[in-house]
Amino acid sequence: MGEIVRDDAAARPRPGNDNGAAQTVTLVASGAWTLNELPDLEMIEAQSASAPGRSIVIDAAQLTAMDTFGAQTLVSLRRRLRAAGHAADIAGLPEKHARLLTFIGAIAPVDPSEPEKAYDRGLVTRVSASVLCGRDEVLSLLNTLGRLAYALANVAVSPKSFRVTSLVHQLDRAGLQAVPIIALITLLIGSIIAQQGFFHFRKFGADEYVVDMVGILVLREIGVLIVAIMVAGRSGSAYTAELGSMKLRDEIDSLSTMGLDPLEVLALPRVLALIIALPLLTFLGSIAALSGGVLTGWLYGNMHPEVFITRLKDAISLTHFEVGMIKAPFMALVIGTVACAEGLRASGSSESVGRQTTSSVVKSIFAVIVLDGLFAVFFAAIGM
Amino acid sequence: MDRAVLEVDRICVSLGGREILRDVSLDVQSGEIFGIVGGSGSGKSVLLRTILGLTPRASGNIRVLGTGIDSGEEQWRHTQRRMGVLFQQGGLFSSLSVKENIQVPMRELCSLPVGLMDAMTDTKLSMVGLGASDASKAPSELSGGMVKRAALARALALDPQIVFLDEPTSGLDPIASGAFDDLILTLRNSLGFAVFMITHDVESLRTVCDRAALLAHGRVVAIDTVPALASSRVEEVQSYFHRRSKFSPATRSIH
Ligand SMILES: Nc1ncnc2c1ncn2[C@@H]1O[C@H](COP(=O)(O)OP(=O)(O)OP(=O)(O)O)[C@@H](O)[C@H]1O
Ligand SMILES: [Mg+2]
Repeated sequence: MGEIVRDDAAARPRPGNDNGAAQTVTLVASGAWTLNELPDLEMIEAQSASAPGRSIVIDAAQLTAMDTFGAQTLVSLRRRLRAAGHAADIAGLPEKHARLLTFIGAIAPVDPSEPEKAYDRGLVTRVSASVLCGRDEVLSLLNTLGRLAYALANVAVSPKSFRVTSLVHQLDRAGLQAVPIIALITLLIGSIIAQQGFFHFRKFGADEYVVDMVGILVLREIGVLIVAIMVAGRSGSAYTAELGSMKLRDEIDSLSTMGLDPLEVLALPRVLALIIALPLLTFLGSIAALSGGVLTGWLYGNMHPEVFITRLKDAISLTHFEVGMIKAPFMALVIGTVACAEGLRASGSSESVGRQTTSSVVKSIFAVIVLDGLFAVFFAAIGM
Repeated sequence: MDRAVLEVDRICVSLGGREILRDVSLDVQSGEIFGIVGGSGSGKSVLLRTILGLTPRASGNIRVLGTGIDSGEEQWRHTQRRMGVLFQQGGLFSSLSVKENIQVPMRELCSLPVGLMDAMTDTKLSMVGLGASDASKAPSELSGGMVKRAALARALALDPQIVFLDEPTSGLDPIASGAFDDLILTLRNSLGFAVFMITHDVESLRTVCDRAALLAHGRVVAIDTVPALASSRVEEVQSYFHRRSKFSPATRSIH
């Protein structure tokens, strides 16, 4: 165990010199100054506290071992003493330790006037920073949207340059492969809504209104929302991660330097695939959710499927269906644009790909819900 | 032979509020192999990215193959098709096979018959020393040296007039990197393109480069032929070429 003690014998005033300020204080360091045996830092503080202007010698002749941690501690101690106005020195260090000490001592200390980036910021700062960031993000999103529109216009002018293979591939991934999971989830959600309806409405003897509720809710809101959120989590995140890692591996830059527009080559087929796939998936999801309702009515609500379906025909109209379907392509556009924009913003490390993916999913789900709200206001205004 | 294919005129670049490049000027003549050396973080990659138009600059002018970098998108794209770039990490498209990678520029930028594209792919592959059996491999199945070769083959796909290489030999064993140097020299001699290459390898600098510039703290410290640089009196150049470390603790004394 490393130790440091004040040698009071050596601190006696020298004969003929009663001026306290000129006294020499000796601190004797002994033992092993190594990582696991560093002397107690508080002990060092206590030992070195004295009136400024003294000359202090740290006697290190009795050190048995020293590693970089010990050397750093010694150097810091000397620095602190000097900063406090003492004339501090380290003496008697064995040759091999002296070399290490010189090496560590030559490394300039971190300038405290240059504060490190504060990671643990307060909630208020974080919220206000993210609000300020929000403006930039909206601008960057609009920028991506504009560039996508430009790429689309280019493709419209020369349709030969459009990547049909890529579109088909993305349609398969974002559309076809999503069918089983989306059908399953929407079926479950439809069943749950119906179950809750039967459970609570029964108290008022209003069983048949469950059908109205399930029908309207699913077709107008739940179907498209659930599917959009699933697509954002499933395909949007995949887009961001793909584009992000392509960015890290210089693949995006390679495309640009070949004179190709990464947005046209990579983003456009992906966004178009979503715009085509999401309405189809919404249709499928709505059917599955309604089937879930029928199933629950039959097994739990004592309502024969025929009765359910007859009632459903009366309860819903084409308008409800249209309201849901109209929203789908817009949500797809938002999800695709956010996903691609976030992916292209990845830089530096693979950690940033993870960060962008998280932020892509969070932002697109948020945007989808805001968009849904705006549509609700709009449809109410035009009486749909 | 004496025509500048790359002119960089007093460019300044700032990133993240910090000045990375200051007043960098250099030029590369047609058919020349030009090297950029300098310590880590001295701004070499930033310089390359700026020349390629991937990083915005604060001031200064860049002309590649006679075209100014901001002389209109259409014209710049046209110039880009006559440049080949090998990025530090290769930048091969990971979802495509080696063969498809090499065919991307051919397919996207020209309209060639499929038979000719296939034949040219084989030619380019053997030019960089890869076998026909590597053509169908995915980039993830290649070794580090093979990735560099495949990426070089892609950079050379359209017979560019200037090739940009970012540390082509880093991460290669000495024999492989020697072979890569020979490859660049041979290709340059037979195809006559100019090369702008960033390197950390003094050995490779001596063997392949005609001229070189030393970058330090974002400035060009010296620019000359390689033998002239090697015998230069400038301290930074000397320490770079003769591997003298500025930080040698043993020479300091205890205070
Ligand atoms: N996107 C960026 N944002 C902020 N600073 C950057 C960025 N890219 C590079 N830098 C800074 O620019 C400086 C030069 O970086 P650069 O990548 O050009 O170094 P280099 O000379 O290529 O080094 P190496 O030989 O290690 O590749 C570094 O200090 C780096 O921190
Ligand atoms: Mg670099």
